[in-house]
Amino acid sequence: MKNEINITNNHNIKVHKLIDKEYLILIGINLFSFLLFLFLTIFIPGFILFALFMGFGTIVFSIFSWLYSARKKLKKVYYLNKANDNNYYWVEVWHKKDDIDENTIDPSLLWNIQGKLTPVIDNTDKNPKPFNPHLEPISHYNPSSIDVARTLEHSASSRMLKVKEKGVKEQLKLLIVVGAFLGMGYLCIVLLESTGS
Amino acid sequence: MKLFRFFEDRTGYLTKSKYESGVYQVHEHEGYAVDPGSVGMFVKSRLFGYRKPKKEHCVTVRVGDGTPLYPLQKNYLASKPLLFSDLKKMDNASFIKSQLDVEKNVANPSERIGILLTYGALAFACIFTVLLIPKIIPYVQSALEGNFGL
Repeated sequence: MKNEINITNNHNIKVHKLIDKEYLILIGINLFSFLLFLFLTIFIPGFILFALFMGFGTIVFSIFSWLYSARKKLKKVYYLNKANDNNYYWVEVWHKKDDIDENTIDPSLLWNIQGKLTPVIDNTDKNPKPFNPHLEPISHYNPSSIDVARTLEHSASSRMLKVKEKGVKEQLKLLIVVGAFLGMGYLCIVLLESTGS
Repeated sequence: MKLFRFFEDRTGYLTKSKYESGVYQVHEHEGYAVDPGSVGMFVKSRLFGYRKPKKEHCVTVRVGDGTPLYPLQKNYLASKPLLFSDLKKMDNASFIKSQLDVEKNVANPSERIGILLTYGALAFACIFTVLLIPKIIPYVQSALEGNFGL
């Protein structure tokens, strides 16, 4: 594994070489069928629909099989890098899956990132090391993330500060809503009666 | 701001957060203090590394700790962690914001529902009125003919 990686492509596989051979054969068959139907439209114009169907199918199948092959062959790794003494940057790098074997890799490097086992490597020192921010336990003498989130909760103060509308404004609003609903009901009845007759 | 959140059970998530009154808020029960020194970059790959990567700012945090991490420091921890006294500043900023919102008369969600209901009822009433017009015309005509012989 390289010590300093600052690009997101570490596999260097060409786009067309990523796709599996069996899928390539199927894409070839699809493409041949598409061309065949396209040729047949010269004699039977009705075949244009088949040709379009095959063409669309080939495109969709190619995209999905490429994505499937990419997910099967490549693996994501997160690197923590040092830009200078004060700045750091994380890089999401794609490696060949064969280079990073989950069974042989140091388990301390693995994290469950977004539901997938992913190596997270600290590259800030001379030698890469596991990234473990929980080596030192969270102190009870410092605010927790829930304490910080609670500072934004002021619904009680908002309720206290809010003065209820005085006068007939609120009652008038309620009257309009009730009136509108009653009117709707009445109109419904009229409409149904007229349809019946 | 993008947050790289690390849980104690070795799970991690890349999450978008909302900035509000000096706090990066993930959800109602999770927030982190804003600290410019803890901000780094995140180089995100696109299309399995085939396309040009996307760069954005990122803060690294451990879930449960209100202080963001300093990944270049020893044990990734800030030399000056957040104190309970610092919460006062955030609390005050948030309180002033709530006060301003009330003064500006910003409707709360329940009020907004009431307003929507009113508009909905009015809209339905209008629709029914429009639908009823062709039905009512023959009645009006027959009533006029019966009563006034028009």
